Amino acid sequence: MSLEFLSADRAQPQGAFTPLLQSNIEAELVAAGAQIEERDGWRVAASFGDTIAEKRACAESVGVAELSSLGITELLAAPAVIEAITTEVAGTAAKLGIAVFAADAWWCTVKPDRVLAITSPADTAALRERLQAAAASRSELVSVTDLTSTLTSFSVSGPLARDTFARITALDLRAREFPLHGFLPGSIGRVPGLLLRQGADSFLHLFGAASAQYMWESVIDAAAELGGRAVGIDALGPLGGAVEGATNA
Amino acid sequence: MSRLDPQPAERIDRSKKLKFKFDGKTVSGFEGDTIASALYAQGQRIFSRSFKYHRPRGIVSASGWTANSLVQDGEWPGIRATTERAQEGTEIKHMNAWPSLNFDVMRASDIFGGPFMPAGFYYKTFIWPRSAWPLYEKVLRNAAGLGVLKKSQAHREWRTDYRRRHCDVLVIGGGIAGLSAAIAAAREGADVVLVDEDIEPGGQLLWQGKHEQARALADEAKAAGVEIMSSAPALGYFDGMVPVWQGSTLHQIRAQRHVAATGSIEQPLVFPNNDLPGVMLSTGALKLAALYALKPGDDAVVATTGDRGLEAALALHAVGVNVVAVADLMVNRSNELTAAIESAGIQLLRGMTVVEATGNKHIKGCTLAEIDAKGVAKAGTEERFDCDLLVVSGGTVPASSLMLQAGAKAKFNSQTNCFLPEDPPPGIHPAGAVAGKEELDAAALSGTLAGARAAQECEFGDGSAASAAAAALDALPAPSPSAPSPAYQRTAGSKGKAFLDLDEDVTTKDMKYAIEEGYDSIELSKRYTTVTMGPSQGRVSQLPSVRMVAEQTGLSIDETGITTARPPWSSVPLGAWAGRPFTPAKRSAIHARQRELNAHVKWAGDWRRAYDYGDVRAEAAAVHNAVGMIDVSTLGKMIVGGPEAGQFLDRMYTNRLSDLKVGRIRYGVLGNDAGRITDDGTVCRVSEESFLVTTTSSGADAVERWFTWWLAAWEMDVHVTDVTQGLCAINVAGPKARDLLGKLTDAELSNEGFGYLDGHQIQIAGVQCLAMRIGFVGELGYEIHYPAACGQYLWDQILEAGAEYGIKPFGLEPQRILRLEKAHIIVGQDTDSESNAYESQMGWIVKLDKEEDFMGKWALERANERGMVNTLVGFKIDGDDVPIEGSAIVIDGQPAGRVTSARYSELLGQSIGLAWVPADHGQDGGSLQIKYGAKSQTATIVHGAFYDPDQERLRS
Repeated sequence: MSLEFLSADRAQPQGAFTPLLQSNIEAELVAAGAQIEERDGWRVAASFGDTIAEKRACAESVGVAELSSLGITELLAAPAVIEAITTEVAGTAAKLGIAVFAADAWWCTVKPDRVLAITSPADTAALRERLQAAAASRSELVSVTDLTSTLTSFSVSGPLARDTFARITALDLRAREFPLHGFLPGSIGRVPGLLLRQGADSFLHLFGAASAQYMWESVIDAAAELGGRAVGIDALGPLGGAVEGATNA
Repeated sequence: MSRLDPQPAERIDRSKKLKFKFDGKTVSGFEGDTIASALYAQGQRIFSRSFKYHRPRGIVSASGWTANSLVQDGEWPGIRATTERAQEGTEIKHMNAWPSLNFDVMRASDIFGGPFMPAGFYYKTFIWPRSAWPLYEKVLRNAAGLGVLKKSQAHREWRTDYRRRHCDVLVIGGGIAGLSAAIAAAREGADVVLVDEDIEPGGQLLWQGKHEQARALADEAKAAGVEIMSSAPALGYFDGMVPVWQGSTLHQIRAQRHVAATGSIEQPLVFPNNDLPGVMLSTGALKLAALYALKPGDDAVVATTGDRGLEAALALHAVGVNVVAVADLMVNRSNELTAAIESAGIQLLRGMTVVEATGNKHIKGCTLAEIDAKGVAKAGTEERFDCDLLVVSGGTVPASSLMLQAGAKAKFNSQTNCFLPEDPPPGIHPAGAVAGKEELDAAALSGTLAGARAAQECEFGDGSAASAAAAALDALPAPSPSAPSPAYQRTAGSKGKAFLDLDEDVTTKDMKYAIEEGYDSIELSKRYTTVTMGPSQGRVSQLPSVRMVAEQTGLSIDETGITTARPPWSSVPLGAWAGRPFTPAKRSAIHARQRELNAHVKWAGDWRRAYDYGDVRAEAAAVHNAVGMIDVSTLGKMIVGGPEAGQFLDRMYTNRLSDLKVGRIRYGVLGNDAGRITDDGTVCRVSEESFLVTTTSSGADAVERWFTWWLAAWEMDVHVTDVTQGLCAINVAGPKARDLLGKLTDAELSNEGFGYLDGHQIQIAGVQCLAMRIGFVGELGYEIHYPAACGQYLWDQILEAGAEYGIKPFGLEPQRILRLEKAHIIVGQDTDSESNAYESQMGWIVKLDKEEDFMGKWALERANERGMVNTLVGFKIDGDDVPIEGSAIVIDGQPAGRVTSARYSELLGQSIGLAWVPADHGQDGGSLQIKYGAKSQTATIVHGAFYDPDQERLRS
């Protein structure tokens, strides 16, 4: 018996039952005008009714998208073992402080013995299996755990993204301190979180899923003060990255 | 009307008119006017009534350095009319007068109350009868007139925000020194922020005829990349973080280096009736004229101790004010300014100063005289002048509060007659007046020097800019001297009040009285008289009060010292400090659905949870008679994995877990080194090397930290991953639970195939779950753990499938009744920091014979040998009178224990509970006396569960 009960993508149609994978805060998203569509087995906020305006927000002010469907796989092992496994699976070694995009995943080192791999929903199961296979071939202790449901992701994108975070966190997000592809842990809105700078003005914010409603209210509130808005995943690039635009880095 | 012809530096846009109301009357102004300047243009001279004596008060500095200009703007009290821009359509009211600003009945306290209201009178009066204090307080607060706040406010009607800004160099102050510093630092490549409390940067340049230079410097700074924040006072210095208030946002600015270019504050002179409207600092008069094109008066007298007053006299003369006389306390000053005054035909009285002002609601005249060393007018030297404007200038003091807060020391400088900050801490660079460089050229160079040095310390530039500025600064001539002001200048026998502090209405007489009462240091007298404690934070009252204390005590000014600088340097609404409210709340993935089912949601630790669904007893009854479901996703959940996971858990828990078979579950208690219970939960062996550990909802984070901490110490081959928020958990409990689940899964659910304390991974309605047969609520039950992404889906499926069995969702409150019927404890409620497993009636879970040493073993061995002092017992009371939790257990009339939990059980028809009692009074069947409020009841002690003590239903 393994840890299959942790993986939402293990849910399969069974007789009359067709499981749904959805965000913890689907009700809040719908209340905010989200149009929910099924993508890769997940019900996601595809848009908030005006994709053009949403893309404009990401280009001119700030857009906030809920991306709990992104797959997150945790790899725990000794640093040398992590390096070997990520090199085997992704062709690159993850580094502390700077995320690496390889094999269709972001490889984010939280600490030397803990790496998170962030993938699109469609790639999550396959990556997890590759990691498990790599782990099984090792004699050292390696843990591969699906944290997709444990961590919620928000994309915060646009030239005012940094200013949005300035309202809710004391982290220094200037490009000099937090460069492109930077990855760091920190308190955001008084909740422990992880932040990945996907693009010059595009951030992926990960935090405990139980705080999703609170964090949604907090980030949207800060963004709205700056002229930003909620956006659906159709306004974003792959893995929630923004379409490249102006920067205030 | 007092409006002058267009002035070169004016801020107003005469093409854009605006209107607002002041005390119900329409006021016209121009865009760019402050509330005060627009009112002044219409002839308003009284802007407020004073705090204690309700004396009329007018504009003094036009900079917000006194509380004289505080008004109520709509719903917001305490607005500084001299710095707040006028806005179209606003409703401005005076704050501290009744029935009107012009006629205030409380003025009687000035005329008649003086002898009865000395400093600190409120410490000696209003103390009898004690019960009348609420009335006194109401009267005093009304009399103090601090404005009126709304009784209530819609949620976030007025929002405040925090904004964090990191930079290399923060320049505080936007005068010539600050701008020069910012430019120098930015040119070297540093990321620079400049904050300034004025509406636009430029400082004194703006009203001293050098506005073009000011605006050019500001443009240059912006072009160099400096972020300039105007109307943004820096409030304090907190270990490098400087809070800056702007609009409704508190900017928390963290810089590597700071430049303090906070400028100087002109000081008043202290003489009888120095508070009359029309008595103005030269800064105030010049600002009104230069920035708002206002004629501050028709006939002016100027009294000064230095060049500043002479410059003001010339400037006022230039805009058409009739300068009747200029009194320069310096006897032998002769420079370009004195020559210009004399050539303009203005009477210059050297060695004289003002010793009295006269008037009722506005100044009508003043007396100038030569004074002796004590400040008393020399007989025969008095000259009286009629005037409607008295411009005073008692020199300047550097605005050094922020530097002092940062750790610099204040030292009196006899050359400049003021305290200068010395020995600033590393990383803080003074510039301009706070560096003792007040002359414009010196201020600019000192700013350049400070900015370049700050940038260099951030590893920008090669230091050449700093070296060049330092050399140029050294080459400058010494500044013009100013005459030291006496503490208090007056005519012999003068009786008028002379104010040291306009905010708090503290007079020279008050300070003398305080010192006579024994409050003879500046810190003590400050607290007794409240001098410098008003909204202006001593800007124009600190040096006068220090001089007064020095004179009265015979100490030097340096020996007297100044009071401790504390934030906030500028007064701001309390909301500024509160910032935006952040109250993190955790919610399960099923939370929204439970709200739809009319759950009453309450806080449970940091979670929002369903307390009940409207009918507690029916919800509990459904569990006993049919089936119920509760969201227990809040339970802490951790995967503990690795070849040594079993041994690790053996070390952490009091019982043995390494021998647990795969697919089996065991209850466990966690303790600390002292053997006290810290948490509890279940441990399910999911695979040979993996365990799912559950904890209490509120203990999840602490247990995760506890495990991680010990793992780091022991270096065991174990990994811990917290999956609390990734797994939903639903407890489906009741005699129909098996039937219900049978509709949703093909898995074996029989007692033989899935027995009590089994944990199986099964598909339920297509979702991969870990189902655990455990029973906190005492009936056949399955605790189903599954991915939160399927949370709502599976909840809905169970609810739908259970409809035919009468399923009810139940909340925390029914769960508490159900668990109490089983006498299951809740750690933290039924235990405290002193409770061990033995005394909690769980000695069975302590395995002292374990192979592994375990947490708290030594302490538990001692506790076992010693025997119980207290014990946790169950109790029951006939009837439905439920003792309050926390009620005392009384033995022989003395409190001897307490009730930890109590509820009425509909099923049992009794009130039941748990209580700590002395061990020798805890025998099964014994009786307890419980006292709560005025009530006292006898309860019967019960050992074990109240309901299904043999676990037959649980295991069925």
